[in-house]
Amino acid sequence: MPKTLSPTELARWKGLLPKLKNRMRKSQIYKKVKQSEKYIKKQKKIESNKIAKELGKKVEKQVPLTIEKLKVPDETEVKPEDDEVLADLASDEFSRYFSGKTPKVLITTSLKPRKSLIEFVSDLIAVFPNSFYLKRTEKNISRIIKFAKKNKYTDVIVVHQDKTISGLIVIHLPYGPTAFFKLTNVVQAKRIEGRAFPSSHFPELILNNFNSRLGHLIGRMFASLFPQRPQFSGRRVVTFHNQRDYIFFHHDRYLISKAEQRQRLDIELQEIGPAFTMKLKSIQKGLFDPVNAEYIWIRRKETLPNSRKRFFL
Amino acid sequence: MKVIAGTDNGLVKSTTIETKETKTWGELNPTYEISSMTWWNSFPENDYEVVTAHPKGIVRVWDVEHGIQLAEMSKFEKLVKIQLLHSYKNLLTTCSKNGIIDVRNCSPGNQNFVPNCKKPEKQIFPRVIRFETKVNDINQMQVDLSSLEDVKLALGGKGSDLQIWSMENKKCIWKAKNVPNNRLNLPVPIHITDLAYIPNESSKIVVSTGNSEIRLYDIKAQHRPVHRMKISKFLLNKICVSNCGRFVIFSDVTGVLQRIDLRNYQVVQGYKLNSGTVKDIAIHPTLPKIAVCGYSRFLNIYNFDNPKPISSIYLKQKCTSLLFSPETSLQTEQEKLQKLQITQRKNNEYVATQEEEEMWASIPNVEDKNEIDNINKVDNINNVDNNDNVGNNDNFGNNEISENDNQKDDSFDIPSEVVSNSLDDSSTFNHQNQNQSQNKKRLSVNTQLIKKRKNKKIKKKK
Repeated sequence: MPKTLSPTELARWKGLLPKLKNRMRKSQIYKKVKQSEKYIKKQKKIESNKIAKELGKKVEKQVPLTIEKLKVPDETEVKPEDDEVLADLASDEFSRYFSGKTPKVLITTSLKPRKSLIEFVSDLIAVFPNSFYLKRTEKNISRIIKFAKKNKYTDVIVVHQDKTISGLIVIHLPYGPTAFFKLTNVVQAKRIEGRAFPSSHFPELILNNFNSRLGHLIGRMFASLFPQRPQFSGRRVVTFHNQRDYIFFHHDRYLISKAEQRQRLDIELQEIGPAFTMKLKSIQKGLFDPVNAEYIWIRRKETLPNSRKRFFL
Repeated sequence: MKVIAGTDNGLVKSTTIETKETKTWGELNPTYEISSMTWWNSFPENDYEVVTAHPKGIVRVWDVEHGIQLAEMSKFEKLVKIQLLHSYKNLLTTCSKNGIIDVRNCSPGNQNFVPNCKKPEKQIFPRVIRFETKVNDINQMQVDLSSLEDVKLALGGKGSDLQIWSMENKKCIWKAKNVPNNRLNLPVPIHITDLAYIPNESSKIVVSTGNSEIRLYDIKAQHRPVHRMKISKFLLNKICVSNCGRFVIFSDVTGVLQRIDLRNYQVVQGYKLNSGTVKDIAIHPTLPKIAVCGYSRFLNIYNFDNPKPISSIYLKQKCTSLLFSPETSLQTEQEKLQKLQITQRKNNEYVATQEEEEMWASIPNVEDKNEIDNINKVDNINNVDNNDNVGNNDNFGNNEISENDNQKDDSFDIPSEVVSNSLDDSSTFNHQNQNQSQNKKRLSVNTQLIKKRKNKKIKKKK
């Protein structure tokens, strides 16, 4: 067989491939097909570059189309020129925190937790400064909320487990919204090789890609869990990265070093604590109420459209 | 078509649907939440005068096109609902959450009302009736609009079942009885979220409960509900009845919108693209269109038949109340003038347009018949060769009078909008016409078959 095939022979051998039963011959033909496809693609590029050079134009690099470029445009994007939406955000339920209040967080679990859950919770206590753990003996969450209101807490987090760590509830006190998340791909801290150890400095926050009006609500909710002024000497970072309605969580320590050969600054990261992905299930307007609540947003088959290119956060 | 919406923050918005323009009036303040809205005139001549009620204890009157606050009344209690009594006087009835009912006289022709006032807080509306119903935690109140002499109210809430009160006697006339016990022999909890009267029958009420049921009550029949329907596992939030009295539209706490036929008690149609609780539903008074708003910050408008919305407009706040204006389309000034003339001619006031006046002035009078005959003869003799002049004169004589006659006939016909009040669907009207034509074909086919059979029978006998 020749080294590379012409395009007519290519089409013929490609159609015959699934019918061959001889394994040795089939693998040889498959190699030839792949080589000739590559060769044809390269020749096209060289020709187009030649033509462009003769004319004097620049050759542009082709950019691949991804779902983020093809997605349905969102009407609810917050633009910086909008006075009405910014005034609405400034008079939100989280606005009391942004005037200089420090948070106090309560973390609990579901009933009868296993060993893996308790270790996960001890990692979370290292993430949030000024946080406390409560052993769960009560069945009603509304009684835990009453206890938290008396002792002047500002947030409650509940982590629950069905053989694997699977869910998370964030409640903002005193009147604020509750959010339900679904956790997947949970990696505990002790399983990470070459990790760093946590310290008690106040961390910095990074919130990526929360563009729509719903996204701003959730972004402010995450921001109200941490103290407002970070301590830069601690070099600690917590990131919430949003992409296609999935939120990725990381907890790192960074180092800025100067590379002498390149004469520019490089950033190195070392992981400290847990890493997991979250997905929004629903947001309720008042406190936790499974019977009589009103929903700001809920993901349900009967109401939302079924399309790959539509995102809400 | 125009829609007026009241928000969670104290703003009032008015939108036109075809052009997607919005105007906002008011100051942003989260303590001035709007709970309900009505029109200010009982026979709505204006599209833009609106009364809003706040649970803080304040009632305001707005002019939505120009953005002026006409009046403000305080010293109410925690307000839930406000509604206009369509009687010979303009009376506003308000209902608070504790059960206090307050009726005030606020008509624009009142002696105490000042039209252009700089301090809207100092307007006075005198009080007519006030009485206490000792009912706690009211969720909804409705006024029976078809009763003129003895006005009746319907109340319901969490822990308190359906009750009907009369305004003159200030007493409870009718009280509903609870449904029989569970399978576990436990009493069913009482929780009413929304009420609605069926429009042409003053004795039937539709009710949505916290157990996700829809119930029909008949005052004249019995104290327990006539029919019960179980729907979903989430709370039902809002109910609305169409103008013909046949369809009921309800909404869910999660954003589900569906339509029920009251004759079969079955779900007929579902509507999509709501992703939060629905706070208010409004139906157009003449056309089959629905407007929906809620916590998802979008205004959706649907036809009765289609699950996808016609248009969805992004309002930047959460809206809690809606009003649908009775306009049908973007009316130009000519159409508004024609409407005015129609109403005036019904009241035996004849007003002529400019075109009509010119026509009547240019035509000669009927008293001089000989002159008309002379004119026609002369023109026919002289201008036989010039066809244009003959044609013009003929048109001048014949067709313009016929155009005037046609205009007169159109003016005294009943316009289609008044007819379609009884039929809710304009599409059903067309359906009937098509069915008639199809029925004629079927009749002709059947007669042919009958003739054939008769001939066959006669042949067999022989």
